[in-house]
Amino acid sequence: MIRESVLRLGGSLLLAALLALPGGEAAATGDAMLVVRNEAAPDTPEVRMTEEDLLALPQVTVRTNTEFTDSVVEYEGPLARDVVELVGANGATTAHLVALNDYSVDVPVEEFFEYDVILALYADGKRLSRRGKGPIWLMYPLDDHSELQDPLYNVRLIWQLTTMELR
Amino acid sequence: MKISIGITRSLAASALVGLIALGAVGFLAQYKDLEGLRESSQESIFWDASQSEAELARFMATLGRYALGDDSVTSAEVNKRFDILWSRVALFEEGDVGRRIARYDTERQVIRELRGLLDKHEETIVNLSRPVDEARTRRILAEFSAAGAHLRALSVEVLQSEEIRLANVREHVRTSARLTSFASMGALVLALVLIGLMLIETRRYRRMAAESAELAERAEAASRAKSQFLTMMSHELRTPMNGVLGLLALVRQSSLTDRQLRLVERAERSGRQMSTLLGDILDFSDLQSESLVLDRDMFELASLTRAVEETFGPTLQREGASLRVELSEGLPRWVVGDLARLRQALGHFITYLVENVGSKDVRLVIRPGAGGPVFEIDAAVQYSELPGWQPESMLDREASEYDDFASDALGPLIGRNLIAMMGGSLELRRATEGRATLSVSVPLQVIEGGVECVRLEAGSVTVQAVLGALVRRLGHELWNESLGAQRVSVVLLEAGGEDEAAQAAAMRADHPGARLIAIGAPSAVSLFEAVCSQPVTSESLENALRVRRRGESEIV
Repeated sequence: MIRESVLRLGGSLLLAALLALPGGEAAATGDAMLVVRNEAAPDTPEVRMTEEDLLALPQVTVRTNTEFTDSVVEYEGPLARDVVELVGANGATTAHLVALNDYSVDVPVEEFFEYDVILALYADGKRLSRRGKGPIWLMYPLDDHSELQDPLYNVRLIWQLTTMELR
Repeated sequence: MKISIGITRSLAASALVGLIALGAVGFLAQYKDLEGLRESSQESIFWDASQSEAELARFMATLGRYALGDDSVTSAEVNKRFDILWSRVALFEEGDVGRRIARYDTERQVIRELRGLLDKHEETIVNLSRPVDEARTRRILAEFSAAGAHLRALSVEVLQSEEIRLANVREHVRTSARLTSFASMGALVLALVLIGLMLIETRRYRRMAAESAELAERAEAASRAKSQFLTMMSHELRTPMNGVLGLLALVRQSSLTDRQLRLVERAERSGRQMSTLLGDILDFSDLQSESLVLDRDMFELASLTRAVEETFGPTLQREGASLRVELSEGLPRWVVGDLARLRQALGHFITYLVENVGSKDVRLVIRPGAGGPVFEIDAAVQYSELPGWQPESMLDREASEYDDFASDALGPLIGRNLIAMMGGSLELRRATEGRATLSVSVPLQVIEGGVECVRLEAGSVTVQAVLGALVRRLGHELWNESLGAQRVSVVLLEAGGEDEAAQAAAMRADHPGARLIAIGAPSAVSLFEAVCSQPVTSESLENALRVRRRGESEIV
């Protein structure tokens, strides 16, 4: 019966597509909350960051509204550029960000230096949970810059972030 | 003109209305654009809905593989998928995205159903371990599978609604484009209409300007004809009047009784008055037609006072009035201007005050002023002859006031115009009761540094005449033998002749104190104080006359 259910689901195109994903959900990160690597500098070892590592970096607050929240929320976490500096940009122009559900988005690295983009760990003082947008939600200061009021930046607000790959 | 103003107003009004209408259309187009932009800027909720469906499928697949005994799948992996599914449900419960999806889920309540299943199986999934309870797992999968079908239906509806939303955006853009096209076309038509109307207006204004120019030309021609008529009539009347006066003078010389003599004198006085009036009309006509030209010559201020006394003294005496003329200290001796016209202007004011106002005591004082000599005519004014007359009326009447223009105002009017032509000004003061002072300021050129007495020695008559005119124009005196050799201060000698040295020596001998200036190119420059090259101009001659030192010749 279980097999039938699985086969029925497996017959759907959507599932077939999901199973065909390279690496799939097997992308293990161990105890690490975030893996940072720089493909533009192959000699630079990847950095596997635990929650403590992230909290050890300077914490920055961003207050902003998003289409995913009811009102202005105060987010707190390390600056994305500080995390990038751990491996060094070294000519990388794009940050390929991957979420827990394998959703990914490419963000220009220069935006991390142009704006105070943070890897939010807290929202209104509460730890972001995996059952919400946690444990890491990339957050732009949308309300502080009119040019960020665009759907393009909704797409870049990737939550449940697990991997940052510089290219 | 009224029609033209009407067209101009309607032109402006139509342009204004057109602009307002186009502005309204443009505003509407912008509003539609903004509406479309706002809608297109919203997060795509279809993506969120379909992702939830996908996450549900992934959870079920992971749970199924775990239940089938796939060792590569751990309970932690199943819980991770379970948590991700939780996060999708949480996404639908807040924010603008959640509210928009909830609008399509009011009937099915799929989100609530999914949340209920997550709550229901929370404990089972969190505590998942092998061996797996197959029956329970089968039930869980069946329940989630049913919810998945409902979620797919929701996704389809959201997809369709998103298509409708995008269609609305496109419609907004289309409407905006149509409105913008309409506004642009309207602006084009309005501009063409306005250009057309402006061309019509321009043509109308040109026609009006041509008509105005023609009218002005006619008026000018009429004025010229009037002036010519006045001039002609003045001449025609003065000629017989002079004949009458001449005959009366002859009659007066014959033996007459006292009564006859008085009658003849009265007739002579009337004749002179008429002759003067005709002269004034002639002058007024010349002033009106701007054909009167002022002379510019050097004269002594003392000669002006003498001329005023000689010309107007006897007349005023006959009227029983006294005229005193005084020259103040500090006045230049020689000035440059039009002596005759200045005397005429002053005479008009004086005569008017005596003959028309009835003043019996008139004083003319010439004193130095900031811009040249000031001629002050101070007169007793008792207002006996003209009741209600005020001295200021001498300056009030303008040439254009013909309606009630009295002949007695002609003299002061001519005087004022002559003074204005000379660049002068008039001011009236009443410092004491019963007297009025009219100050006439005329900027006459003052001859500085004294007047030279110049002897001309030129071979040709032409050069002699030219040099004489220049000397007079510069305000200097031309020598003649009656003035005596000692009077000569400058000798202008036409140089370059064979006997140049002999002539220079002779001039030195005749006028030892005089300066010798060569005209032309002298053979021996050292013989002269200065050299004035040909052609001689006022400026070069003036510069040569300024050279004072002897012994160093200067060529100018």
